[in-house]
Amino acid sequence: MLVVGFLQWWYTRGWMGFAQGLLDKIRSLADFFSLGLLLRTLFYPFRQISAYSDENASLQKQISAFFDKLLSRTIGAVVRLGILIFGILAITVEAGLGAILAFAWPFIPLVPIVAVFCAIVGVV
Amino acid sequence: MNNTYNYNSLRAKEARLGKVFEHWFIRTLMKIAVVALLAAAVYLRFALHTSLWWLLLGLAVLLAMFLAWHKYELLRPATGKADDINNILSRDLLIVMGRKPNSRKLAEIACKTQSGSFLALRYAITPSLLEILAADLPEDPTPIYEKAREIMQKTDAEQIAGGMISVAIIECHPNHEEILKRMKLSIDDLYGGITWYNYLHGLVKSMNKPRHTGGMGRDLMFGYTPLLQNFAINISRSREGMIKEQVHLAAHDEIVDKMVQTFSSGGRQNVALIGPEGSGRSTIVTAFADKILNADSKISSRLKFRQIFKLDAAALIGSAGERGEIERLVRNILAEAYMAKNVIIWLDNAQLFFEEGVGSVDIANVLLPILEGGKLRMILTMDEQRFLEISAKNSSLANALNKIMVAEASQDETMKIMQDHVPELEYQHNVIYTHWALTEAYRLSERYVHDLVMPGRALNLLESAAGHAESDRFVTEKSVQSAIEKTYGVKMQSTQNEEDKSRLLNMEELIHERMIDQEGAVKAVSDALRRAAAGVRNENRPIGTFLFLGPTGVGKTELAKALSEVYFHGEGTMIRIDLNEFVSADDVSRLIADGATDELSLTSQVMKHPFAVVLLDEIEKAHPQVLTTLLQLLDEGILRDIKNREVSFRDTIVIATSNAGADKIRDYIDQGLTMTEVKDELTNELIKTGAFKPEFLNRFDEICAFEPLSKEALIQIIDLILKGVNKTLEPQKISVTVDEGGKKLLVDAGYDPKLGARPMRRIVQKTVENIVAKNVLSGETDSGEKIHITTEMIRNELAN
Repeated sequence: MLVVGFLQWWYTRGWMGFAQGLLDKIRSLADFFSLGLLLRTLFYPFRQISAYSDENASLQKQISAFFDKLLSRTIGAVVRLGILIFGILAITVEAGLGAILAFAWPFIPLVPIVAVFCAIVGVV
Repeated sequence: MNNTYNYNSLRAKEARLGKVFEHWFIRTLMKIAVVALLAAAVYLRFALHTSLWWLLLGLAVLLAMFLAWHKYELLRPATGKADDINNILSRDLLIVMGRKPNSRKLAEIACKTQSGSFLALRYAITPSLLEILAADLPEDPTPIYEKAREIMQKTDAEQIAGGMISVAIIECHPNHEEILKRMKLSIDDLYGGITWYNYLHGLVKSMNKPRHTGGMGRDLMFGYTPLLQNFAINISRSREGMIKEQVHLAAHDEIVDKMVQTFSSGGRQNVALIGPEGSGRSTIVTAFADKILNADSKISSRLKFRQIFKLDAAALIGSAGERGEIERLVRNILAEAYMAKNVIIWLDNAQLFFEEGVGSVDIANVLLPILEGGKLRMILTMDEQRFLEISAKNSSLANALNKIMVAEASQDETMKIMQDHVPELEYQHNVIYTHWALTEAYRLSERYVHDLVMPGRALNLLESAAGHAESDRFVTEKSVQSAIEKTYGVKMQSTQNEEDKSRLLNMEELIHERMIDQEGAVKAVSDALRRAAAGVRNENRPIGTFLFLGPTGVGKTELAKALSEVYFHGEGTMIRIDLNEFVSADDVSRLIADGATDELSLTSQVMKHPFAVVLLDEIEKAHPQVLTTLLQLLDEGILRDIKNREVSFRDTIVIATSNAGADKIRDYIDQGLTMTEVKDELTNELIKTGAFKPEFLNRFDEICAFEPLSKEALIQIIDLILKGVNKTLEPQKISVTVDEGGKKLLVDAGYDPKLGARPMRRIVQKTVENIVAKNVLSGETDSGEKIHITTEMIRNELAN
């Protein structure tokens, strides 16, 4: 009865739970690396550091402020891009391994049987 | 419906199997075994080239599958349809159920579960109580299961836990209402206990879920705030590390939603939370911080991940000496906050920033343009009175604010909040709170804690009670009572012990130890107080309200003093207000003045000493407006002070005295009327002459007429005064006696029908005390000697 209970769980709640757990992990990773947030704010000035601009300032000051902002935004974009790439990599690895395991899930209970068979037959 | 428990059901077997492998050590061993088997398999495959590695691989996979099954299923077997009891019994119950549990067995095992022991500890639903009750129930446990299923549905639970079985056993007992009553419980309280447990259980479960708070990129889009961090506390940062969110109250959720709405819209970016101290304004701000910090909450991205900084007024004042410097500093801080793009400034006790004083500074001129401009988000919290004061001073400031009123929490809400705080308090103080501690904290704080409103005042008292836990670490209703006694100087339960009971039974004798005559008044007062002590009284009124009528010097004040000593264990518990000082309508404000401005006002004195005799002397001289104010006190035992705080008089004895119509008493007695008839005649006379309105007189429990003192009574009073003199001389070991003739002489000399016993003390002073003084100074009398004063000595002294 317990074996039946185990198999019932493995092919229903167990499998679903694994898939759900995988999705939760991916969501947590996406949150940890702030993927959505970084994409949305990719070109924001780095830590809001930018020169103060005044419409009434001289042209030279305005040009200087423009380049300051540009620099801050470039630094911001580079830092964000770095984190984004690292985050996407981590999520890809997690999702890839998880997907393989999810597809393999129904076959895992067969492994011990196959293993016994292979051991008896003498497959090395 | 299937209510037959099956020991061999799959869930029961799974639960028992799960228990076997529950210990962390066994599970760790199994995990190590999986890794070791896999390593060994790799070694066999690649080093020894043998097919045996397959066996090791198979074994490792088998173990790994079992570990997954154990973790996700055996430790929490899934529930099924509620029509079969086997599908909904909780895991810890299934483990201890046994093969064929009968009612008694269920009673025995219910408390072995987590929720069962929770009820045992907090509601005293102990195994022995359950076993006694189960002995009266049929062997067949079917009705218990049925009731437990009903409880499960009523409390919105998914499983039948041990606590529900405990409550079901109680509810199945035919006399359960009486049994619970004796335990000061109701079935609803126990349902509340189950809900409480379910809530805490849910909290523990939710702690395992990951919280999404924006991640490592969140703060990259916002600026640095080095200056702000020196003068403010980042509430959001401190909430980030919290393992749990606070309890959600419907009223608070509504306010948080309004705040989200205000800050998401394009209007003025500020919210002023106006509510009394203790109403949970800070809790609402932290709930708001939680909400905007939660990546999963559905709010505008313009608001998400904004950080709330609580500005510290003291730090600002401390670091900047001059007023101009403070303004400059605040401008810099706010500019930094604005540039950072993610800051919401919180001004807690906002009045500190809008008025000059110790620990406060008026920077309204700096803040007003920011509030009106609406570019920097701000939250202000303050109480209603302060808001009104600021509004009166600066109407444009009041108009610039988006006000949200925060109301006092209801009883149900306060209980929920206390239940939410209990685990934290228990952890901090290493104690266990019982249900009665919570209900008592609510009841007593509502009555005696005035500076805060609910839930703040109940929580304060509950926390203080932790320091008064009983020997076995339990915080009970007694702990709360002693906490309020020690913290607020409130004396609890004057009729608790045998000594107090005997004092009440012999009240007349005890009163007569210090006052003479007035049998009728003493009896009326004693009877009323005995009724009150026995619980035969309206809890929503003072313990007793009495009007003493009679001429000067007949013992009205003395009886009040005697009562405070006998009933409240000391004269220090008498609050005396001379109403001849309250003769105009404006004097009402003095009567109910705030303790900070007038510590002798009636309300402030009762706030400090809620267990006292309140003596309202010469009530006939008070202005009618003052009497109208006192009506509510006499009727409901409540008086609102000038700050609109409810002050309870429900533990006071209110005594009003009056000389009105006193001259008639002698006439009535001379006409041969009994004291009861005298009282009735006098009352009618007072109404007829317009001294008091009938509705005022009707508010008193008893009206007592005091008869003029006879000469015989005055001799007894002389004895009482002499007793006092002897008490004063006790340290010098000198005692005084006066012969009977001397006493008569003293009475003759001091007797004045208009002044009653009042001149007696003076005459004793003039004669007896003078004689003693001369004897002691001349050396005629030494320590340990007795002075006998004869009639002759008194006569000589009077002649001098």
